[in-house]
Amino acid sequence: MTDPVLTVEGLTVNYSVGAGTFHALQDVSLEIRPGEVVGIVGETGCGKSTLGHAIPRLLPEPPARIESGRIVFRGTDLVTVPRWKLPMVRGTGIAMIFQEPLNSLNPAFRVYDQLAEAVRIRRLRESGRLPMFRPDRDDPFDYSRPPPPPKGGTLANAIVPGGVTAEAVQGRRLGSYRDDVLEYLRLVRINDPETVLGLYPHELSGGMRQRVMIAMALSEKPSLLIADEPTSALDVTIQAQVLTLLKELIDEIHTAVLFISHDLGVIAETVDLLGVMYAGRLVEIGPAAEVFESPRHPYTKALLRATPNRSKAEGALDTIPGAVPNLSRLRPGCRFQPRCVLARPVCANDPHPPLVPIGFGPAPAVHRTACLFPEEVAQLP
Amino acid sequence: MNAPPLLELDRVQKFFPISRSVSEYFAGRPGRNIHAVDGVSLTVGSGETLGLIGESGSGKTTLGWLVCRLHSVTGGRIRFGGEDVTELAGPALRAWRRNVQVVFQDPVGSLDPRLRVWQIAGEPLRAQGGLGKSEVRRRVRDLLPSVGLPPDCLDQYAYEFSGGGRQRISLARALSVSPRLVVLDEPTSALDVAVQAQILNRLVELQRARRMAYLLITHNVAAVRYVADRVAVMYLGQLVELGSMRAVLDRPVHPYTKALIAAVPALDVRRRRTRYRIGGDVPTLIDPKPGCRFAARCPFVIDRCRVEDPPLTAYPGDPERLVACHRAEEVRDIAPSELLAPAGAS
Amino acid sequence: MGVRDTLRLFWAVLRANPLTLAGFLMVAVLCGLAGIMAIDPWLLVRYGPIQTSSASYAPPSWAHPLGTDNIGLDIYSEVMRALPLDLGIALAIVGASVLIGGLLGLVAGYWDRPGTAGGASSIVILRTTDVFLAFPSLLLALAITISLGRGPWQAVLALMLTWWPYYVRLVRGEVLAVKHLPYIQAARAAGVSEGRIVLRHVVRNILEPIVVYLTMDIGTVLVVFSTIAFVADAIPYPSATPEWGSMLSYYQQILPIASYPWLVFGPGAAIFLTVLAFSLLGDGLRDVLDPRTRRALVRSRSRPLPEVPAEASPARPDDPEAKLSGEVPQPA
Repeated sequence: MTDPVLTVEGLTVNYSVGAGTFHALQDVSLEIRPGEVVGIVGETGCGKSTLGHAIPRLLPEPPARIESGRIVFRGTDLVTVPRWKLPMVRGTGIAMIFQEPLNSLNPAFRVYDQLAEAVRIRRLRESGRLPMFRPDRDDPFDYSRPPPPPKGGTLANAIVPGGVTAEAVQGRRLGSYRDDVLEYLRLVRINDPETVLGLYPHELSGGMRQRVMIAMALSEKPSLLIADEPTSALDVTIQAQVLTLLKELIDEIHTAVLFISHDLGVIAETVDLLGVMYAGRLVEIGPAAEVFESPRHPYTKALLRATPNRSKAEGALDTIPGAVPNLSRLRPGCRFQPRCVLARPVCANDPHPPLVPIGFGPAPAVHRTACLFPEEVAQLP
Repeated sequence: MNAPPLLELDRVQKFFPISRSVSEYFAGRPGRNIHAVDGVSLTVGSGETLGLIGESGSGKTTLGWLVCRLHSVTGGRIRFGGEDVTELAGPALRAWRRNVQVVFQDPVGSLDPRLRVWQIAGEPLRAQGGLGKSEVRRRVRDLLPSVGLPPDCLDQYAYEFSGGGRQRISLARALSVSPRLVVLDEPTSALDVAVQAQILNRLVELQRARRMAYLLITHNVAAVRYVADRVAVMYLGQLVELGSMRAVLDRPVHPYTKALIAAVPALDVRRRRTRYRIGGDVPTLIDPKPGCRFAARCPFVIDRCRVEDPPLTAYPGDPERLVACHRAEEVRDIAPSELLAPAGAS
Repeated sequence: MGVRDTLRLFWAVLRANPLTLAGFLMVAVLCGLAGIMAIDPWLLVRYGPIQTSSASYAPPSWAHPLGTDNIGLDIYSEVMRALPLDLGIALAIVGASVLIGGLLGLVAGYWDRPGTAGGASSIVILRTTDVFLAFPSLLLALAITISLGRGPWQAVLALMLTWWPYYVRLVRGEVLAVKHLPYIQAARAAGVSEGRIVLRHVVRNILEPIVVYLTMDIGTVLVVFSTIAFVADAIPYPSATPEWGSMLSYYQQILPIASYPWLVFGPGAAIFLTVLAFSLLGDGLRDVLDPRTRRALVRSRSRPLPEVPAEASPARPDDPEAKLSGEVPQPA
């Protein structure tokens, strides 16, 4: 069995908010192996986005604090890496795509410029002229030298309004970048890449923008791709197209993926392994088929049942009573206990039930749940 | 059925002009328009729910706003309870507003942050009735339990509530004048699954208790399946399919409806191995050319589709069912799942 | 947020932020002193207008806290006498500008659909505003003052004429931001008339940034007015109604021959402190009114927010959504 690309162990993240502390993540552990797609699902406020941002250390660290835990990426604990070295991990090591591509693409730069920047960084890193994160080797980079200036003058010209027209971009002897950029645009199934090169983000549709984001993320050939709600802002048919694209690329390129979403349906059709989060904790994790067909945590079960799938003639929809707890004022014991149908006094005692494996199977992928009574969950209607 | 339907839209159009540059104006070029809604006819009966499904650019939101007269129509007529209300304006329009209320999509933006719950929910009452403050408070207080809010939250502010709570306040506002029709514009899109279920349950209960009609505008097919009696599907400003909920959602005829239903993610892990095959993006709404607007993306397209507008025709065997497709007969039995190819197929 | 909540929040900001507290106290003191001076000056000063004493160029002392000038005028008395005038003028100019500019901005922002009468008037208002804004305000005010004849009222009028365009822009921007929010449409759908929508929804929601801006603007206007008085020699000094700018102008002419620092210290410090007070206050107001900091302040207030959102507290015991967390017994 190959080593996992990412191992998160006991990650606890707190935010200092005014007087109190907001426990965004508590004791989260998971593993992602090469080529595997791990999904994290949960409702608003469960901490899944915090987890997605914490892994590449993209959280704003003054209000947020990583209290404890390890984030081991290809053998190196990112929590101990000094902040100035972190940019070397991002891009070529860990890439990220976000929900609203209009916000994550720079509106002042054309598609070509943004993709070219990604390609350029990768090339410079691979050729050793910029430091790259090499967990398995000593760092050979000479930090005394300044970084090299941009080649081909593309990025300097990009700032001049009207200085770069679509025609100029196509005709310019830009050499290497342009071919790579076109290749990546074709990789994400954009039909007319030459035209798209010269467009600004606001001139593209939502689906196209998301494809450009995916192209940017993959052009650096990352070991791990974190996708934070990548299709939530898209129309249904466009979402289906983008998900199909992601599935095909994942199968072709074998990147490890952490896929975060609130939509169970999207998760079901995209991931291999599924983790369910509630109120900052991972409450269930296992192979997607098992978690969907035989959930072993009351919250997962309730979430699946609350998804509307019938007509009003067939009865009212199942709901989950109560509301998500306030993460700055937590009670002891299981966090789902106040809303849980199976709750009993022992659930309200500390410590929070740990994730324990149920059933048998190869150790990393075994189905685990954080409920003390998983057998009873199986017997719920 | 001799009573007229509660709401009747007759070839309604709404165009938004695109502002022309000065040179275009002087060159005498005709103004261009965005055809947001382009000749839609439908009806909603008393006490029933019509679900209006579509994606961005379909015009469903614009149509909803036309129904509550927040926009004025560019063409066509709107009839409510048998009377033509297309041209209403001024005090007559404001008085008519008690019949049709709206619940908006954005739980944050649809409530005035400066006002308290009783003021927000009681605003239609004050605008319509000239009621005093204590009377409005009393009525809102009596209304709150039916939307699931505790009666003592009258004096709280909107920011103290979560998304689900805010939508309940919006709902209370809409119900305060006992309207006959409520336009629900994506009422649950900004909410979590569990809260969505609560709100949808609530909507159905209220409809049964008060015999109101709903125009439910959404892209969420599951919500439509739960709440709606009939379904209309819009694409690029036009109605492409109309019929009972079961017929349209379980046995869709129009290729776009099939594409939409196929695209909805299901809680089915076997779909990990499927690939969605409908490509293309929504084409422009500006002065669309003749021909079926879905032709560029339709997997069943023939040459006729590109030049001739398909009329909305009744479906043989089911007069309530309308479809706008030249090939309706041939494609009707193709299930949406056939639009999902297994992995590896091209 | 209503008035009471805003005031409570303001008090929390004052307690948390010493600079804002200082600004607020200073403004309160200044206004109080100005009020006293307007009603009964003898409570604070010992010398009447243009009352000279025998001691000229006397350094600051108990009898003359800010010293005396060349003809023996007690500078402290003159500064205090100028206080209500300066403060009043600044408030009047800002007030008039807010009213005129605000009204125009409201009209230009709210009724601006192209092709309607509102749209046409909106264009007229905006282009006129642009013309005024094209001139540097100080120079324009100076030019108007001088052409109208140098005098205090001319200066005030000139500033009112040059100051309103900023408010047109400010108010219009805020109105545009609010106009398209769903709750405005909701009010329309409820049958509320346009006039009521403007007053009840639009104006109430744009008030806050305008209040912040105008608070800080008072300081700016004071400086500009004093500058005009200084440069254009618009207000004669000494006179029965002194003004800080004119005092500075007069004394700085004397300085080459009698360079006693306390001559200019008095009026200069008065301008400085007044502007500082309003700036600090305005800054603090911005913290109160900024939604992000406001939310943080709201959370830390003594009244605890309900742990469970309102919709989950028991409305009816059999309502399945009505379970409060942890308080309804669960089946064993």
